Amino acid sequence: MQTLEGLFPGNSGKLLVARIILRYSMPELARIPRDRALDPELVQRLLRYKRELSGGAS
Amino acid sequence: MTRRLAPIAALPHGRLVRAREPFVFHCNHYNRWLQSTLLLNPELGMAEVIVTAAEEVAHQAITQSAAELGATTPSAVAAVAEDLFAEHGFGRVDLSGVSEQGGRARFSSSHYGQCLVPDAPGSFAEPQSLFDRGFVAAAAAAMAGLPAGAFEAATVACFSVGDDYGEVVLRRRAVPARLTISPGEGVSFSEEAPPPPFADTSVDEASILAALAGLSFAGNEEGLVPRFGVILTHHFANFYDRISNELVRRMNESDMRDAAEMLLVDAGRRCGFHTFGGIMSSAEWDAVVRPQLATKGDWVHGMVAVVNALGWGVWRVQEHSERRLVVRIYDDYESRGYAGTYGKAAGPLCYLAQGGVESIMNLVYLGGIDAKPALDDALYDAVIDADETYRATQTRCMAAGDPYTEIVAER
Repeated sequence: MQTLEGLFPGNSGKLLVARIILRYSMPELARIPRDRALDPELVQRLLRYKRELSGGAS
Repeated sequence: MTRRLAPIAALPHGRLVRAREPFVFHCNHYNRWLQSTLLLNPELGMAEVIVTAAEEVAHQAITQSAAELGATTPSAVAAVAEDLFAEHGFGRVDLSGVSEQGGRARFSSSHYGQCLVPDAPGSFAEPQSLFDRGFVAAAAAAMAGLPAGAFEAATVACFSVGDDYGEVVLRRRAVPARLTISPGEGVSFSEEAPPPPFADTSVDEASILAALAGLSFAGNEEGLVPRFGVILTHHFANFYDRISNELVRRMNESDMRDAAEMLLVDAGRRCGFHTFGGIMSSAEWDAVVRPQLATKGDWVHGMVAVVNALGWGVWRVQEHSERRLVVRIYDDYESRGYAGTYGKAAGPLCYLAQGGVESIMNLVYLGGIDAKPALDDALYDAVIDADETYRATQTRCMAAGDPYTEIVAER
């Protein structure tokens, strides 16, 4: 089971989620409890976005 | 190196105004993170907002500077613009290729082109010199005696994408674009005078400010300001206000305001981490401030004293313990710029101040800044992910009608 907290731990993870929300226009992410199990398809998308945005700029 | 510049006025509450535009010091890390946040989603159109925000403030500053200096010919106005650009740390630009119909502005150095460190070795995918583009569009208009918006500008070369110079092509518009007018010095809703600095500390703010006043923060031969381990700009306060508030406005419409505000605070937090951290690790700090420090708490008061030289308004520590810091800010530039442009705010909007106050506590009590650690991403993440990290909230806002802005950072 993957959760937002597991994929994006800590405050630095919350900031990366905020960047994903803006970058990919996903306001619904902000409403998902951080300990709720995520849909596997969403997990794959989030992992891809995480790779694309890790580090922050550009 | 002699530059012709309109005088800079040191106004009450630490405000620094040149040619009717307020200026604030900010570093390359803040500029990088703020811009990267604004540009996250190209569909938002924030790149154009950055360009036009630069154009609005630069046009005001160049035309007013030219008037104050008696520069009336296009070449004289161009010289004023080139000197302003270099003095404030934006780089070096040559406007000799620009006429009233357009032309080419060439950059031999650029803060935005060269100093926004990319994530990985190499270059950015897109030119980062959006500010430069707006600045030279404003310069071309001022040289021709035209309003801001009179020229289209396109970046054709930029250091940030691997070029060894910067270049912007300018073309006169048949009909000038309509831009927002700079709010100039902005608006304060409060007449309340700041109280004296916090008494229960060995830090003498007046002596620190006097010592800092003796340092030069002018752009060097390259038009850059390397200080305290960062690259500073003495930037247009209204530029920051405009681009930040416009992002929030656009996010508000799409239900993503909270995420945008979180990232704007983070840009301020990174600014504090690098700039305040750099200051507290610097030779100048060791010479001027450190001899006054007896306790860890004094480091907080010493840093707040230095902030009062940055043009950010007057910061006053209202309450301080290892667990909690309350800072009241009189005449903060985020509030002044917002109020001058939009009027009274509905709620808090001082994102930079929140991140800055938080950073002071994190650096002093978690980051071990007194041991001069490397101020890198690993330390940044370790500090903000620590269980005992400090988080800031804004409890009052001058733009919303309060007598001062108040930030509370606590663990």
